[in-house]
Amino acid sequence: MTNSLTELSQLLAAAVEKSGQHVVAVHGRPRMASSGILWRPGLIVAANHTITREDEIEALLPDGSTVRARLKARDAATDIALLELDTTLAPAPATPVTDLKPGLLTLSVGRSATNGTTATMGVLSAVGGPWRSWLGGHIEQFLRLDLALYPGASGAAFTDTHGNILGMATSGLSRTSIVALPAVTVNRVLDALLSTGRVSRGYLGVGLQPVALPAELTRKADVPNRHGVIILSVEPGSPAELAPLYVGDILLKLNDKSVEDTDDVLTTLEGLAVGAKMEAVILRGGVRVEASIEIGERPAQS
Amino acid sequence: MISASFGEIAERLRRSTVEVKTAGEAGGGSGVVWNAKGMIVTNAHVARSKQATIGLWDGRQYPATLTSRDAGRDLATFKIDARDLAPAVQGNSRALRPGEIVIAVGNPLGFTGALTTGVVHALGPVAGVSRRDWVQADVRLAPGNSGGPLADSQGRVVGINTMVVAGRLGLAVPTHDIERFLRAGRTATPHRCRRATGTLEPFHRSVAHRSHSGYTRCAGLAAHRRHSGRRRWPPIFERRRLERRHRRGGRPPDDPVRAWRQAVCAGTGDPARGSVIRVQIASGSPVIRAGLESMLEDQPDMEIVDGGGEVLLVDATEEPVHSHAEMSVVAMCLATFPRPTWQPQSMRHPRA
Repeated sequence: MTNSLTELSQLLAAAVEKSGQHVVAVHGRPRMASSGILWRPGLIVAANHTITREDEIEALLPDGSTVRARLKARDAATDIALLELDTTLAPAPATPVTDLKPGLLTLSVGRSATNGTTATMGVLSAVGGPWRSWLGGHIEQFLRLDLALYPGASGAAFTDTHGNILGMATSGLSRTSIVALPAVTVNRVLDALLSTGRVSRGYLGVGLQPVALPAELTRKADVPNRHGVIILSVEPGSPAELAPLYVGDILLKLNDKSVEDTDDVLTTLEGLAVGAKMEAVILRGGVRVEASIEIGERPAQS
Repeated sequence: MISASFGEIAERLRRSTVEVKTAGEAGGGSGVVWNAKGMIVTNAHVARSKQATIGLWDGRQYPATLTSRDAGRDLATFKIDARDLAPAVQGNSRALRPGEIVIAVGNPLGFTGALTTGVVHALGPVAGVSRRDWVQADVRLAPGNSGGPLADSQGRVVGINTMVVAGRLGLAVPTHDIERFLRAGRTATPHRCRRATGTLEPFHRSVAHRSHSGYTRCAGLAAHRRHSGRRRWPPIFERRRLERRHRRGGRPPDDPVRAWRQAVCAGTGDPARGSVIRVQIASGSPVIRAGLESMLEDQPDMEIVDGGGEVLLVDATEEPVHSHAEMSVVAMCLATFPRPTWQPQSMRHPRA
């Protein structure tokens, strides 16, 4: 009674059953539960956008029991919420990240409040390098999934066909597609949340817009730029105000790297620790000015 | 069956799938040959009349008679007088596990014998649709798949494809419910009922719920009664009155069916308790239909009958549609659908 299709079917069902042992349903918002992964002993990783309550959060465990969970910390920028609960259930085993390639057959394994384990199948449709989410979170690897996440499945485990949990699937990081957070990102964010309660990100406190520069100006300022970014606003008390930077200044270089777009500023900030000094080359009133800015910490976003 | 390739499984399933066309309808649904005696199982919303034409995989066409129909579970059976049928093998819907591969065959959008595969998403009720069991399958279904088979990886039928929710989640009536229906075989003789004339209109509005914080966007059906004879408040006003009372601290209209029943009673005269309220909805309004069905499933004395546009006795219901994209579960029945009009046309030059 076996054929190759049945074998594949059994393989997929077994993978869902295996990874489903580490997937819980989380009641963290009105009406509809979402999914979460038992990532470390007593710690659940869930999709931050599905946790709208700060307390009275409950988790439905794979063994059918419901336990109270506490919101320990959250990082909206990577859509990770960390919940703590009392359970002796084994967390998902740490899977070494193999080289993920587009086309890999993948499953999303969630848990519904009423129906137990839920699953969808698809392929890993794109694998890219590091990227930044729309809320500014740094994510080590871009993983786009060509599968459906049905209501309540955000926070589901993203697994291979052997049931190895490779990351967390969420619909909260892209409007157009399902994106998975790789395990390495989850681990890094988890470590940061556990040690300091937050993920600190570099901050200048400026509003920026790219502008094209006339060749004469850049020649006078002695920079190779064709574009710079103009400062449109300066937050009170921010590192930029203390530097000081003024509205109308045009950033040309940060730490000897040309700045042509707002993205370049964010990339430079990403590689630097809070408290580090950053040397900036600025065009102020047509005159080249150099300034030193001490990077601050970005205020929390919810 | 020792070993069969995917192609063989698909072909066998395709031969057990039929096209169901009811009189006066532009499109059609699908059905499953249930046994060699000519029993065809399909959805009740495909079986819109007592007579239908069943088209087999090899092109043969047979007239069929409706033998049973259960609008609540959305199942119906037809009988055809044919030989050399290829009945479907029945599987065990209770033994399915999430992640197992499933195959759906049907006649979506006018294509005959189209096949699609996916995996079982979950098993059980779907919040916002109904409290009944469903095989929830991550397969791509389209209008015209209604009544067609959903089979496991060995080609054994585990459900009848019925509707799509949340954009693309296919819901199939599980085989164990089909078997229960076949044993009971509820026939749909419309009961006698009081009649009033009116129309149903979809509406969208914001309603403050006491039990939840903030506002919820609600979509539902507003019932308007065409006035005749003794003047009464039309139901829409009655419903507003209930809502107003609720805002002032009265009993919340938490039970929409009850609220609507009150509204209907106020608008149409009071049907005796226990009498059958017949809700006839305009054809071609699958969303309205699905909403009604989910609200009326626990009301055995209410029944939905498809009509040709006019509504006989007005009842209506209200199903909250959550504004957050992740929470919206909007049901769309895979009802019949007109054949595509973009079939190739001859490129003959017009005569001069």
